[in-house]
Amino acid sequence: MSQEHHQSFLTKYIFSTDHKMVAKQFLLLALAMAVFGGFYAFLIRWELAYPNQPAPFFGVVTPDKYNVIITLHGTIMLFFVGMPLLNAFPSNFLVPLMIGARDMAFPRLNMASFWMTFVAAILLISSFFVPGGPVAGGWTGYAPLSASSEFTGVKAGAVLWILSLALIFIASSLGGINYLVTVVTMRAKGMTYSRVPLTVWFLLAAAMTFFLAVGPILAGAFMLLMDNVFGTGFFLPGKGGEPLLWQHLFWFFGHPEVYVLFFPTLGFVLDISAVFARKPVFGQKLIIGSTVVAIALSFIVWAHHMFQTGMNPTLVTPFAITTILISVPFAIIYICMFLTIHNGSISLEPPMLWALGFLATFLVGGLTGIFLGAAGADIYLHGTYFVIAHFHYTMFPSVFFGGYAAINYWYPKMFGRMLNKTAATIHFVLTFIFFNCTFWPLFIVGMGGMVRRIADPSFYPQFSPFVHLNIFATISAMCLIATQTIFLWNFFSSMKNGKKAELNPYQANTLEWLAQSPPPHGNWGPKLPVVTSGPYEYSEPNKTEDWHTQAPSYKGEASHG
Amino acid sequence: MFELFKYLPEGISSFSGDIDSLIHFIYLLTGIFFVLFEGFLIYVVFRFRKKNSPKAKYELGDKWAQIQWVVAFVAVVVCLDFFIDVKSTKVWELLKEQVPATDVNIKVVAKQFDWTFVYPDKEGKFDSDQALSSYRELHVPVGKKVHVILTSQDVIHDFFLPEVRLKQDVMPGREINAWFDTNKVGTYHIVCNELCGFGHTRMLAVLHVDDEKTYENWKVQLYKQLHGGV
Repeated sequence: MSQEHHQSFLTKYIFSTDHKMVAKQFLLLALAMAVFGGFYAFLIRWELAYPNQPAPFFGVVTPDKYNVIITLHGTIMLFFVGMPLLNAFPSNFLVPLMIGARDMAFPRLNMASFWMTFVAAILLISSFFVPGGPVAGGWTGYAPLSASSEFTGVKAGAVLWILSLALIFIASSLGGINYLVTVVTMRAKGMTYSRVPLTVWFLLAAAMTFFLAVGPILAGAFMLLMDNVFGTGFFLPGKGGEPLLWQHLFWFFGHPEVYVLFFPTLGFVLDISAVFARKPVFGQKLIIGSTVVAIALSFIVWAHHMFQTGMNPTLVTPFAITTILISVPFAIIYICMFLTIHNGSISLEPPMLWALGFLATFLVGGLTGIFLGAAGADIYLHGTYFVIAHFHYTMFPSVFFGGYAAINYWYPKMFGRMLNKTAATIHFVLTFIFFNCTFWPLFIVGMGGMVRRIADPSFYPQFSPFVHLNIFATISAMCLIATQTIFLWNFFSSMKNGKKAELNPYQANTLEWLAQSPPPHGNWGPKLPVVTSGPYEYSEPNKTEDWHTQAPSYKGEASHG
Repeated sequence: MFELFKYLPEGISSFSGDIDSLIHFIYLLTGIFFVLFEGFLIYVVFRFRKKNSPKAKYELGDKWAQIQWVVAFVAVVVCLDFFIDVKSTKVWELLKEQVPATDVNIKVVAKQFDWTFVYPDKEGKFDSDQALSSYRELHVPVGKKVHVILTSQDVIHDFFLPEVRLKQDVMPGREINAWFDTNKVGTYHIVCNELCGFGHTRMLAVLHVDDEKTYENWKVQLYKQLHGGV
């Protein structure tokens, strides 16, 4: 690959079209935005435990600031941490390597996708510096509150928020097209669909789900923008508009979006489980089939977020039934995950710890969803801290346990060095403990009737019996955030000081482990790998080795240069 | 730390018991699955660690004999799910699908960041000058079915009575009909449960469940306050 030798700093690190560099850019963006999102989480928890006392590094979290903080926490964590970390970063890094391609189908589209995401992040953060401050209507942006500045005093901030989201949605769509075309057209010889690893399958599932969901939210965002800028009143009843229309558009996108942030982690966990249990993934075809069913169903469950809105109450039962049905494919996938490690030969390396931690914690999120999917129980629990606890038990394991599993697992391939194993293990153990200590008490608090999105709990004497639980959750959250510095230290210092990584430190079958660590521009030597077997042939009977690569004839970089 | 229901407020309506028993029922079922799965996970991690299980078993899970147990298990899950849903739908239909014949009609007007409760005049009209407006205080007679007509003048609010176990969004541009009853005299909470702006956190009101006599006296007093003597 001749172009490798003629890259300036600008084209290599900034306006790079190399899929691996774009992936690292997305990863760094996600980590940087996670610092913001985590700081807002700290402020939220501080205010809930110590209302009206000045928070360290910030000051008093007044109600108007509190509303800004919860809005930005949600927006940042889902769209600027979750999507770059779980979709853009792994899709860019892994898809070409795992299918045996030299790069993405559209490298410049890829670069555009990153820089649009970057501009979107800048737009969001710049809203701090406009009159009226950033948007404060909650990350769900319910109209009319979000549709007119007369209700919040925020005008420019709302416009920037909408533009920022619209931009990142478009950027993610461009990325998604790219991943899809790459997998369809650029698989190496012999890489049939049944030999494509599940990580790639699930990254594609996420991209497909996002495509199908994003249209309505872009239409909604456009209308919301018109309402804010030109006073069109699509969502304002005083002008003949309909507030519920926004909620339908939002959740038609919003529920599938949850799976966009969930599917990639399923792929990581399954691939990692196979490698560290030395066993084939159990029921690979069953898992893929279940995923297709889950995607289809994810578009007809959205109204379960809206049971208490005053929509036609007889519509509730059909949506409760689809919500139950969607538990079927996910239950199947979950059991297949358990059966993948069952009868295995498990080593508890850090990536495997994150995968197991995901299984243990996401279970709680899944089970507590049943309370909220039952419309009768939702009458009481909707909008309480029970909901907060529930969706943090789904999103945190997906985004962070899944994200950390991926980073820990593919770090040697990304940077050519190993993470410090002791630090990685401590990071996992502390994160696991403090995550549970932060969110478990919130189920009890929510059952006690504490409602979400209130800035000043001291105003609610009925919450005083469980103030100790709120303080406990806050201290745990602070420890959880502090624990992440172990990761950041390990991540950055291991790039220079980590032990040199072998090509294939885990004896894994998939193609990315045949490439150099880190892979050069163009990924492969003069000849592309030729695939002759599936990704999960571990511990086959009557073989001496318990693994063999998918492309045994690949000669590597021998004649590279 | 593990008593999920320790702070659940005491229910004071005819349907609060139904909602609570539904929540307890789901807790029981999900609790069983929680223990089963976490137990299985811990068992697998210890039993099949490399030192206890040096060689993994080659199982693809592509034969019916292997996956039939998965299917059977999921079938059980679905049955239990539907069982929950049947129970849930009963509560939902009772409370949300229609308003039964009620004894008292009250209009609830929400706006940033206040609750106003309007009691109709003798002819049942809310817009006459004989109608009574109570600010941030909702009085209802104990044991009576109360019909609330929910309206908002600006953004979406949510009418949440934790002890009654009633929650209903209040939408601008429409009237939403809801109902509840009470069975215990006392003072309870009304909370706005939908983010409605910077004053959302203080959008509270008080629910007074009065005996018949106190309720009537209160209305007379309120009339005097609003209209200055009779």
